[in-house]
Amino acid sequence: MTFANAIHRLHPKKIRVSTVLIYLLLIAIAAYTLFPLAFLFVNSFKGQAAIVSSPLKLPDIWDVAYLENSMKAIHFMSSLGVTAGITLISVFVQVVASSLVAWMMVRNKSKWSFALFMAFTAAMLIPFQSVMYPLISMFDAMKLKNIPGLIIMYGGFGLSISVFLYHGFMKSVPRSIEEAALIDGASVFQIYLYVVMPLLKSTTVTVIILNGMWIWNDYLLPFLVIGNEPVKTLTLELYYAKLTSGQYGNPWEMIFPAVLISIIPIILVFLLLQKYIMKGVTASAVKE
Amino acid sequence: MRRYGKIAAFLLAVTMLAGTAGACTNSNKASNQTTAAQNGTAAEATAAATAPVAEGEYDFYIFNTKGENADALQAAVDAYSAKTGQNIKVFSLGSGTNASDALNTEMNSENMPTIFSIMNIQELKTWTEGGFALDLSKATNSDFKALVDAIPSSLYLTNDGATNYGIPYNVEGYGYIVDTEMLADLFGADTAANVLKDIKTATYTEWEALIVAIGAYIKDGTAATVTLSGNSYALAAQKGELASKLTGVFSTAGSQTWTYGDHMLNVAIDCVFANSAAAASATPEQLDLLKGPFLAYAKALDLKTTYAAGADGALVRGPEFINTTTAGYDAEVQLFADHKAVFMKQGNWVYGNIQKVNADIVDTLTFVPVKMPFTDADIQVPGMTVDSVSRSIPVFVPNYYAINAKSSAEEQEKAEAFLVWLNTTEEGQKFVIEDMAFIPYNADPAVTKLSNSLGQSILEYMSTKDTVTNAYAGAPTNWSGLTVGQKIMENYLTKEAWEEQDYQDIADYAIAQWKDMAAS
Amino acid sequence: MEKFYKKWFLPLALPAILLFVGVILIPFLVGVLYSFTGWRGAYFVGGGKNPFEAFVGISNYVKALHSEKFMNALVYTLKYTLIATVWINAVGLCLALLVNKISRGAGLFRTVFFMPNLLGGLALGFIWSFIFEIVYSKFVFGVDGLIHIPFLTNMTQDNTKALFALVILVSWQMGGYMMMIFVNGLNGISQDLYEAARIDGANAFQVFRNITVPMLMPAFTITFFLTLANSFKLLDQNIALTDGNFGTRMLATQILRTTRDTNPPDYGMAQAEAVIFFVMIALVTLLQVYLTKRKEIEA
Repeated sequence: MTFANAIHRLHPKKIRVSTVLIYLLLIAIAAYTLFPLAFLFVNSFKGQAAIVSSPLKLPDIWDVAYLENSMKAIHFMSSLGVTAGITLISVFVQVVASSLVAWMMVRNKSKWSFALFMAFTAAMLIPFQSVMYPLISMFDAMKLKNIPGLIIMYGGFGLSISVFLYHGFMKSVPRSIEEAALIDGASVFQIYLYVVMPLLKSTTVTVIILNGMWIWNDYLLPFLVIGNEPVKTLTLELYYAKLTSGQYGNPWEMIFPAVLISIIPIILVFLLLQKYIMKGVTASAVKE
Repeated sequence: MRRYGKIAAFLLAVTMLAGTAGACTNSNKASNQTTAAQNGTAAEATAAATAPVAEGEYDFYIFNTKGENADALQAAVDAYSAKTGQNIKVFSLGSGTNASDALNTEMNSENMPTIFSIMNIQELKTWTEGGFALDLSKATNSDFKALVDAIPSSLYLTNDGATNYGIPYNVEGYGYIVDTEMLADLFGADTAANVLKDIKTATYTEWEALIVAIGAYIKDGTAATVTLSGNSYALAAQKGELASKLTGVFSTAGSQTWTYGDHMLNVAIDCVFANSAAAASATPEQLDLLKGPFLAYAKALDLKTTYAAGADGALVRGPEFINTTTAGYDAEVQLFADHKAVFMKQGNWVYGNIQKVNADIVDTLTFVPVKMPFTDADIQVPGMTVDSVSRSIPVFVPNYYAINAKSSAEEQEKAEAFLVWLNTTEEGQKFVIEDMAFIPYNADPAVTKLSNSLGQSILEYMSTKDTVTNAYAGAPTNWSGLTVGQKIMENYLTKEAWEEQDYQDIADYAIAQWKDMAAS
Repeated sequence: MEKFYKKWFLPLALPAILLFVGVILIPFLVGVLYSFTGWRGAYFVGGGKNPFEAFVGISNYVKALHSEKFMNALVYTLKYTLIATVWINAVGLCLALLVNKISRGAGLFRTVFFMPNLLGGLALGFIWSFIFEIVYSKFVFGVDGLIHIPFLTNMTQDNTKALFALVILVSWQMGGYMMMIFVNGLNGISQDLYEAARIDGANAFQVFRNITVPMLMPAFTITFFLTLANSFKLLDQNIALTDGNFGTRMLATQILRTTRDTNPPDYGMAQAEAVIFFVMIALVTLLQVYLTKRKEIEA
């Protein structure tokens, strides 16, 4: 008899020791995880001198002026809109394109689909520097060195991980349901939207989160594609704000608050999306 | 689910609107947006093939890699545009790998910049090989030619010493920055001015004695008497308010290899090579002549890093000496601004950084030369003596405006006219001096007065011709800070005591690496 | 049914294929072409825009393989990948298991563990440098700290220690990412299987070994692949933490710096290095994917 079983026998319903232990462990790990972020938070209310001399100390006054100045320096409202727009559209493109192709690849187990899968997988391994120049030259020649072009590029770069995830978790969608729907007279798009995708809700949310997050924080690609345009993303705004502060050194009193406010939207979205990552969502659907 | 769906759709619409509204101001908008994902590549390719090459909506394009003047340059361009009715595109960014990638991308595109930045002789190699850098003697605009001819040959952007490819942005200089108020605190308010004058002309022996004396003073208040340029000065018996804050003599940035691997090393190189072009064409025999100067460099570095200031007390060589967080550029500036150190080896670019953390100190700052124990045998440059080196600070051009030889003749003409306006007219110079806070390369020290104390100090050195160049820029790429500086950081700055053998090893390593890297 | 899927294969796969070809395949092939030329970024040796005039054959590859810096970066990257792959997967799995065992606050904990992924660039570099240089070296593991562990002090100043410092940093950042994938995988395991196991009297460990692990194989395929690939390609964290000092330069940083180490910048050689890099990592990871995919079980 294991320890857990023994405990369960002795304390059938009330608070199980194992659960308490798990909570304690989780809290400890959470504290370790949050420490660097707390560091970021604390230093977003301090001036340059205070940050450089004593980064760990709590600020004497929690001065919000630094947050305000930062927001102004990076034109928060407009760059937030730009970044959100780019991220949302890119993620949408990635989700649609990758789920469609993964679905078809899993349902058509042929040499072609295997080769295609390997190609998508291999694409994840290509270092960005090796495609950077030809890619941008090509897009520039096609007059796509701008925001729409950037979205297409994200669509392409995000494919690999998205296809990989959908391909892997497509197993939780049984063919039988699709067959049943087809027999009922559903069109392919209806099957996709109402049968396949709902069962892959958890995976879709994972894809949205993983892709959305790196696009939100991405710096190099926007820099090369739209860097010299007046419209900028959050990361680009931060870069320019830092740039104009001096040839050397870092304006930490602007950087820390800027980073903090940049990641807050993503955290909020992430919290909201948690509802979709539910246990047994796919399992219960299979039962029917 | 439906409710979340509606909210999500609404949010999507709002942000898409915002994003699209932002994108609409982008002049290069493609016709397809959301459907571009599906049929973008094929359709756009055919469209581009049949459409004529589009002329940009601007007259010419400036690509600026001296990013800290971004706003000021934009203001200057706006003023010039208002005057001439031209539409000029400016893009500014800092130097670094991303900068070269961005510039390369632009050079590969249809919209090449007509004015772009080239930092030094090493970068020049690429742009001349590619045929992008215009030989300025071939410029078409006559006013521009006059401007070019007026540039002294010591400030040329050149690989052979004769052909000039760039107009300097400005000049910068570095040395030991000292607060005259601190000197007043240490030696008495009435003798501070003389102390400063005599430090500038002091020999290395006197300098070393000064450092040791101040070090002892900080530690236990021993108020010794020091000799500077033959005159004796006594440290104040009672520590003044500023002097009490001192924890060390020098504020250092141990983790920043460029401070000792580029700038400090440069002073030694200046003894043998007059400028970067001479350094770039150095023969192995000439390189061997660097042994003496490099030994002097090692000794001077040893002195400096032995008397370094820390946040709470003296900073001793060891692992803490090279921490990026406590021994970085910002920390160095902070220590100096907090009066914890007497000297900080930096350049006039640091003015803004100091001002941000302690605005009270900036008006009383000035430069003192970087001293090293050179002997007459070490000096190879004609006209230079140990005395002249020890009185001089390196003044150099950090970046140049270059003209793109591959741009159309019309664009080149307009770009040249702009540079003439910027560098010769009063209006243009106002932007350079006040908004960009630069020292104009063609400044007349007798006439120009800068409000920036460090800039003014450099002008004074320029007026008495007590300057040397940045010959290190002619050394092989990455040799200085990234190789020699790196070696020193990893092996010596963590070592508490240096011996004679260490000096030898540093000097030998530097020379050997130069030979090696120049050959490959 | 088969006919239905066959009919719709190409049309539905088309958007993805077009994106892939346009954004990745063609630029990559062009890049490979460039690796056989004397490319300098803005022009080809000889001053032209035509790559075929500047053909140098395989000399870029030969130079790259003979480059001491490249080889050192390779070895260092391999060492790091080995340690990181195992550790990050373990961390991700543990987090997912823990988080799935609680009913209240799971979403909150998941968010907390995922947050590190949001931090990057300058701020990340400063904060973690500070943690290793000051917090670890002085307060926690230093001579006057809580417990003195010399190995955990001054980690960014030593080749070997920096390896582990990077693992600590990246596992902090990526642990949550892997956790998300494992959570997704755990959610896909039918509760029926667990119930059946409980009825049969299996203990927690047996359940884990015989049900959870095999059913998680699709997730393992993904996470192993991701950690292998990301460890190999590690760039931003490498630069942020040590900037390649003390011999800690990894492959991606090396490829990036090749253009800075040479003058005029040898983009051709950098491309060659990138292709070599790609081939190596493709061999390893595709092999891994093949092996683990075979162990996956259909629902």
